Amino acid sequence: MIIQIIMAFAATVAFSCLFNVPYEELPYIGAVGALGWLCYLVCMSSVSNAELATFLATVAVAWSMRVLTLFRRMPTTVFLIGGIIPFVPGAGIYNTMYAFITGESAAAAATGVKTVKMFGIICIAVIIVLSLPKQMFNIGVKHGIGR
Amino acid sequence: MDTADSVNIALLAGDIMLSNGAETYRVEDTARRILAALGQENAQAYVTATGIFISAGVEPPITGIKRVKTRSYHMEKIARVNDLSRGLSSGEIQCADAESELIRIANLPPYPAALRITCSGVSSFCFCYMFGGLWRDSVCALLCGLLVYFTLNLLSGRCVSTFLSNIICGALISVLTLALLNLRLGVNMDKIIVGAIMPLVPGIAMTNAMRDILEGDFVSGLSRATEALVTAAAIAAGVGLILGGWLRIYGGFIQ
Repeated sequence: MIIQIIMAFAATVAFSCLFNVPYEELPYIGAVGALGWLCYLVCMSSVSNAELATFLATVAVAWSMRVLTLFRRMPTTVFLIGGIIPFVPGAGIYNTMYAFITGESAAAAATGVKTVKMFGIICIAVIIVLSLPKQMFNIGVKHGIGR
Repeated sequence: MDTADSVNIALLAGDIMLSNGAETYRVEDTARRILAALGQENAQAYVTATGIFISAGVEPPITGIKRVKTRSYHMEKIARVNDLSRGLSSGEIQCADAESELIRIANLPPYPAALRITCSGVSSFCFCYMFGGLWRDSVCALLCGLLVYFTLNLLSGRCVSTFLSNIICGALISVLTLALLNLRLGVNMDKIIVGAIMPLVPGIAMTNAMRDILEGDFVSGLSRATEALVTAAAIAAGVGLILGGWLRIYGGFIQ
């Protein structure tokens, strides 16, 4: 579990480097990623439902991202890229393709739909948190500006 | 500062943001804020995923159009232009300095190539482990991740479309993975490949698409969503091409 969290931190930081985020934000991005993955692991071990776990973890990521946006005065995208990447269904893309090449069209369709569903879950979770009013995230910041 | 100069500065700022991966609404927002700070109260900005239209002034209004073709991701530039526009509005930055400041931002260097290649490898390593791979699988993913970004770096300056370079990268990942599997270094093929493709998956295109749709920019939102879909399909096609071919020829992944 601890190793998993450390890995999530490192993965998010390394991934964000590919997008040239400002150096000084890297620790915050890593923290967002680690928090999201922790949330996912806890949800998975208690309810073992991947959809629900992804949704809740993405909400946690988006929430911390909005607080950080006000706190660090950075565009949200800086924190969002790294934060949600562990939940982007790379495995879904792979499994769909794998079912295709092994000739199991029905399985390919089923995993394809599941992949799109996971994309949708992430989008909905982020959109819900982004639509909340700014004041809800304004903790300890005198006059937070913009999103 | 006259209207034409203001429009040009706003276009330059918009160009930097859009070609480095900012969301459409943020570009519009920044362009309008900069124009207002430069004294153009009734300026209009219309931005799509591939171009910027800005109109300012009265009798006669001046309109500038900027076609944005290149698309890379450089978050620091976006953050700096964002800061600049806020600084202009609050008066912390002088209008006369805006242009030189923007040119300085436009020339900010990306992270060194070696660092980005290493980061790609490290992230593949970590993702592979997070998704349940063994340590040896993660090492294989690390090698694939290094190869992927090395190749992307090689292809980026050479007029190869993103679609094709994603196919090539996907294919290289599966070739290397199959080689490592048959050298008995890797064990779980799926975990290695999933870890290795993570640096390529269209996470940012997808988030930008939903931000745009949420803000009501449906045209840009849909075009970016399509970008995400095409990227995902290209990666899958590249990986599938090699794995499928291998399966047809040898009948199994491990000999």
